[in-house]
Amino acid sequence: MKRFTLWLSLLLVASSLHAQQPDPKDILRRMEDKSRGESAEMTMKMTVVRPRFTREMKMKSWSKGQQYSLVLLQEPVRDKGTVFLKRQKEIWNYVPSVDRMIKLPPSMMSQSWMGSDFSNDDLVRESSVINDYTHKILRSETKEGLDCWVIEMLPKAGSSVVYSKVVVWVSKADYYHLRTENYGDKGELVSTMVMSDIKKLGNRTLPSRMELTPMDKKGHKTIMVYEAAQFDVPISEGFFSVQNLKNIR
Amino acid sequence: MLLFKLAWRNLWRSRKRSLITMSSVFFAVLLAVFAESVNRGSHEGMIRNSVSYFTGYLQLQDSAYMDEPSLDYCFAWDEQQEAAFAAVPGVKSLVPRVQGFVLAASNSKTRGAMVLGIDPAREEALNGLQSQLIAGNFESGGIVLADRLAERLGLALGDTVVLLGQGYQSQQAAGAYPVTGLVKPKLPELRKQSAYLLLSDAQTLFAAEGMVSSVLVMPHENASISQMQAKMQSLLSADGYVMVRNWEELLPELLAAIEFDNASNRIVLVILYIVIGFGIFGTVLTMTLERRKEFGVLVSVGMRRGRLALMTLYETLLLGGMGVIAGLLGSMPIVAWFYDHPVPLSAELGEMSENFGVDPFIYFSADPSIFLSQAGIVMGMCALVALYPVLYVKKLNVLQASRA
Repeated sequence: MKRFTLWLSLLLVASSLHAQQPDPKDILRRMEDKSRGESAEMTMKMTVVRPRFTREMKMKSWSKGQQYSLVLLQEPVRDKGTVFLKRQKEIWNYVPSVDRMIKLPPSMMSQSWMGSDFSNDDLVRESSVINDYTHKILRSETKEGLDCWVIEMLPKAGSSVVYSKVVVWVSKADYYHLRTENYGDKGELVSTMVMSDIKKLGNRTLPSRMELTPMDKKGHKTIMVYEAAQFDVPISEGFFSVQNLKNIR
Repeated sequence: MLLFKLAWRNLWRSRKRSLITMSSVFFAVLLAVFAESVNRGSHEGMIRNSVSYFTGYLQLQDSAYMDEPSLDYCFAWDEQQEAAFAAVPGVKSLVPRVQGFVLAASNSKTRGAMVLGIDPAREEALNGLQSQLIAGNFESGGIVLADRLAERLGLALGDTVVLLGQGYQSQQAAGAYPVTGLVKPKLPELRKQSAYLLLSDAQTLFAAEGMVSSVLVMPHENASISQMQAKMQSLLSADGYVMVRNWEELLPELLAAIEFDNASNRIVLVILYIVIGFGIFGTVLTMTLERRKEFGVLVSVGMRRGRLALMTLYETLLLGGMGVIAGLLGSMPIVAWFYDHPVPLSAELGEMSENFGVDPFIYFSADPSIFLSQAGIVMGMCALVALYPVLYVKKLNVLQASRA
């Protein structure tokens, strides 16, 4: 009997040790599930901060899986009604003032998206956090007052990832994605993304504010604030068609 | 003076011999001037093109514009400022431009394009843009496309092109314009991507009313660029972002390329000088040896070696001097002609140079300093060669020489 309890306690210690180092893939999968539904409809505000000016835009977005998304500009008035459509690897742009749909050519993919610090490429790049990287838990750290896992992700050979290393902070309790650091070829920090203001958005609780800071440009910053969201409302694929671009209001 | 007269007569005593030496000097000067003229001319051509199409000799621009040529760094430009800057001594013309990179789309195709909002009359004075029109005109208020861009988009006169991009402070820039002209700028880079709108139309497109990206300044000839720059800088408010840059600041890559080219050209020139130098030396050497007996006899009848040496020195220098003058006189009209008539490159070579972003002509320079420096260098070589007969006379064995 004594022997048995010893075994049992050893087993418990071992399993708790194992619990302290869970599978990083599993953490990331839960993080993804948390922030992305089958489909989503969101209202957001984007603020582009530049050394000499700040520009605010209000927009509405719809998305279905990773493949389809559509963004409609609502403010400023001058640009109202502009639509960006992402279908797989393509980006289409509809501008009401000229009433034309234009597919962005490859040469434009590295350009900034609507003057922000996001590039068009950032919107369509289809790298999977899970499949395109090898993962390692580096340490635990507190961010936003929450205990987080710090996970290092190194891109696998042949993936389309542009960074040499990505480090992600995920809260241990609720799997909130709280911070990302992207590193370039020479191991230098290229950009950081900080998520904060956790609140209820539709039927989920998520960080509602995202701040992207490129390191090589002084005084540049893009802030995205989600004001409202609804997840898992079914949207048909036809909604994300080039023909539908004109009809969205 | 007597020696000089003797030297002069010696030269004309054997005309053929003198002419041979002189012609070797003549061709030396011709060759050196020609080589240097092409070197400098090609550089001047590059600078002229870049300055007239891209930068101007001076340019008003936002201090951040050079590192990041974005429409965000436009600045307000009104008639009052225009008048103030035009009054700066030496200013021939001011050419305001607003420019930005956009997407240009026809019904079927989309390409990146550099839209330049311009004042056609003033551009004309700067780079002859009007004369490069191949169809239509600038004044109808539509868009004028560079020929290759139009070709790539599959557009002709009268078609509509849609422009899409970002304007001032990331506002959306979108517009549809009828194609009212086609132009063939001299620089291949521009042929592929430039599109021209009237300044006011471009300002509306970019949501930059009353603003410009840059103001190019063309000076009168012989005006001091640095003085103009200082004067203009003093007109700008010290706390503003706008500043005056000169072309050397604006085209650092070009200057570096020219510097590099100069270094390799210098090596070629040194080789050329060595060839020329030995050519002259060769003729002087044979002439000196030919006159061995003459020298021997002269010394034995009582002419002092020093004076004889001096006489040969005079002779060589006279030959050199006359050769150089003839060379200059001969090269001037040739260089002047090529200066006015740059040599067009053959089709393949032309294409190659276009790939390097240079227009397909060999330009020549007629800078007076070329003639002076090359004449000076050849004359210097003659002086060096002139030492040979002097040393020869000094060491001459009189007995053997006069018996020869």
